[in-house]
Amino acid sequence: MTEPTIFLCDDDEGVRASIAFLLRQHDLRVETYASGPDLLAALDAWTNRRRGVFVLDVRMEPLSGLQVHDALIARGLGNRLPVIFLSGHGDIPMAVGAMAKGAFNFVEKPYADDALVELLQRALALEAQWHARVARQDVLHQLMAGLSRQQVRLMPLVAAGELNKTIAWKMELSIRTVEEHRRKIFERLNVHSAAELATLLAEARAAGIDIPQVPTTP
Amino acid sequence: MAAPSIAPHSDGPRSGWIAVWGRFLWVLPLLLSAVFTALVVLWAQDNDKLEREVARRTMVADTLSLEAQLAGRMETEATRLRSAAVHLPPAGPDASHQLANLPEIAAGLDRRWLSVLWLDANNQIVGEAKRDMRPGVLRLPPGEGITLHLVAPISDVRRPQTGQLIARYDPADLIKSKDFWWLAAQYEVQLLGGQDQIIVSTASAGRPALGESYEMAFDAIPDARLRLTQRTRLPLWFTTLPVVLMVGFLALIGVTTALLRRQINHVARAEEAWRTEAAWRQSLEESALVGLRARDLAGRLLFANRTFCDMVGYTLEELMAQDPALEAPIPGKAGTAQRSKHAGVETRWRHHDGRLIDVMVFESPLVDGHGHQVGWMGSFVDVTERKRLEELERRQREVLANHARLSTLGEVASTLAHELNQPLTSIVSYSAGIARALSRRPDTEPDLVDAAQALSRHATQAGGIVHRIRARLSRRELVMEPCAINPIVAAAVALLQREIRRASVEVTLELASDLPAARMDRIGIEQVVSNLLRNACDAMSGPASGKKMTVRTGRCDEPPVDSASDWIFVAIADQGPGLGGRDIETLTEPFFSTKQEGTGLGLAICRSILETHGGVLDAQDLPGGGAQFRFFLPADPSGAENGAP
Repeated sequence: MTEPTIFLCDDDEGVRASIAFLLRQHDLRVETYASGPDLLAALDAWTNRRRGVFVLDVRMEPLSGLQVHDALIARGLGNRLPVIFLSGHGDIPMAVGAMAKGAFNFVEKPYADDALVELLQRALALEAQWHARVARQDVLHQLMAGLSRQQVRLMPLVAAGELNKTIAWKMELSIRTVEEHRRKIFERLNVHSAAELATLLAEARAAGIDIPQVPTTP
Repeated sequence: MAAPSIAPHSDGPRSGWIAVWGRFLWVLPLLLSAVFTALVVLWAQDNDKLEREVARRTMVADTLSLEAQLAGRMETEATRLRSAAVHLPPAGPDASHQLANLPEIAAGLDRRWLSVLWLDANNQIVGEAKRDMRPGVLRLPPGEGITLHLVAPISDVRRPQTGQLIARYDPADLIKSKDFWWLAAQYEVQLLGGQDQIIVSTASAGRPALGESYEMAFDAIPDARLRLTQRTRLPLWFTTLPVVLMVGFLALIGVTTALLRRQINHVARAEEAWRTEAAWRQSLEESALVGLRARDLAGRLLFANRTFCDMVGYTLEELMAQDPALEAPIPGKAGTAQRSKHAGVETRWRHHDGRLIDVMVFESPLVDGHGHQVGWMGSFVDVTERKRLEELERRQREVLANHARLSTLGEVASTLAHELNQPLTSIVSYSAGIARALSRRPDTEPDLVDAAQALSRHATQAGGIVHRIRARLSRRELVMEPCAINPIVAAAVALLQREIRRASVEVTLELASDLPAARMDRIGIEQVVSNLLRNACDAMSGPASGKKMTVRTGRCDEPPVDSASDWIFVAIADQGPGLGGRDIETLTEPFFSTKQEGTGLGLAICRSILETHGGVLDAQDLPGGGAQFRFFLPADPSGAENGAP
């Protein structure tokens, strides 16, 4: 698990360097980029999933902060890494528009000394939540991936509280086989009861994992 | 409200036949004259007939009278001869002398007898007395031709006849006798024999008798006839003076009538022309959009047309009777009228209902037919509406100009703010970073931390100052609402009409129909369009430039930004020198200008306005020369887009 990083993109070098300095004093990791394309190129070169917060200047050439934001959304980062805009006074409407598209917040230049840091810390907290959620989804994915196809089909019935023999009858399996599957499912998913399994299944479904519903009796 | 100064020319209802007769009235004198002449001619003819009859009767009477006189005279001579025969003595030896000395014979010879022959009973000549035997008697010329004879028997008591006396005389002498001078002057007298041979005639050579003649038997001479011929013929009736005079008179009347007719026609044509002209003038005066008023030199109203009356709200009668004071003082102006060079005088009047009207007056001398000035003729144009529109347009332009000024200031402030904010941000960041770094060290002097924090605070304060200045100068609140772009473009073009005209630029509008609306701040976008139009005009001010500007609107096929929504664009193409390789970044840089007096903010303002709309401005050179500026705006599909303030 990588450490959260602040990806700072501003075409003004002074601003870039000073903010990087400030953030480092707060023990934050900072990576700076001089333009939108630089940032996007670096993103495209990532090999692993990274954590952090984007800080984008609104007024940049050739891509504005808003356009960079659009590109981030297009890359599926919009709901993983929060975006904070640095805006001038005249750019506020644009920054507000960007928030409508999912940006975390904006800070107006020049900001009071600790405004940016506070905002960043809130963004990082959000990012941590998002990250935890994503991590949990990953876990669920891994758990589910450890089950056989038959176990996946059987699981909803178990979670629904059906008796082994009912399941065996429905799935046209021997009761013994069903007992064996139930034991393995409980073991793999680290649950101890049908109720726990039901909770986990709901969580997995919410995370977008494809789990069949209880087959209806013909 | 007809102008009474021009009398209506209606002739009233006149029945057709009077009109027809009226047209031929001119010929009546001629007809009367002809009738009169015809009567005179008839009378002359009749008179001539009568005269001829009288002349004929006179001639007959004269002939009879002449015959009677001649007969009488011959009877007298015969009587004398008979008397001589009675007194004839018996024949002696010298019977001739005897005879000649006989008093009656002598007297007869003295008169006109040529000779007297004395025959006895056996018709033997006894003696002969001749005229030339008489002393002192004028010798007559020898008788030419025929002579006549008088015979008287000689008788005595014993026997009835003892012989006879024959007197020979010349009939010409008879007729030509002076006793008939009165006749001779008038007539040619002829005595004709039995075979129409002329015995004697009073005809004179070279004077042939031409007139009527009358013949009757002359009983005194057997088989003889007397013929009288008028020496002068009565003139033919139509050659008489009255007739000639009358004909001359008629001819004169004819010519006079013709001349009169011509004159009448001339007058009629002139009158017709005058009527037409008057009618035209009246209809012109009545229909003219220009008020017309004529005044005499003393200022009294002579005439005003309907338009004038309508303009001031008085009827013509009121104007004539009251002469209301129309002039209204113009507040803030020294005189009541301001004279402009070519356009007459502009003044302000008070309408009947009290409102003020602006009037343009063109006054020129009113001149009568002899070239004397008798007053003033004025034409008046109500320019109130025009002035109102001008005023409106001026205000609108002022608003826009004011807005542009504010925008310029706002842009300056914005640019300044942006430029200052960058270093201020750096200062704040560094000082905050330093303060943080210092505070984390246990041995740091507190003063240093305070100083770093103060530095940060001051920098933030400076940023606040910049903000406030900018906020004060900044644009008003944008009013974003869904608008159609075409009317805005058209309005901007209309507003700049004057400048476009001054630059002799021809603008072609190609506005796409069915364009979606876009959320925009109407004034802001109008300002952008105005700015681009003005730039295009300025770009084409050079002598070498083309003068055609094309303004297009349309829907974008490929949006300038990745976006789900439709985009509309406005493109303004000129034929100026082009961009010279500069891209939109350079062009919209604040304070960049190619113009001498440019602020270099126009395009920067355009761009910032467009960016607040989420729009895009671009510019490119056109392949045929000139430049095209285009801006794009996201369309507003529902009219309820969220996210914009």
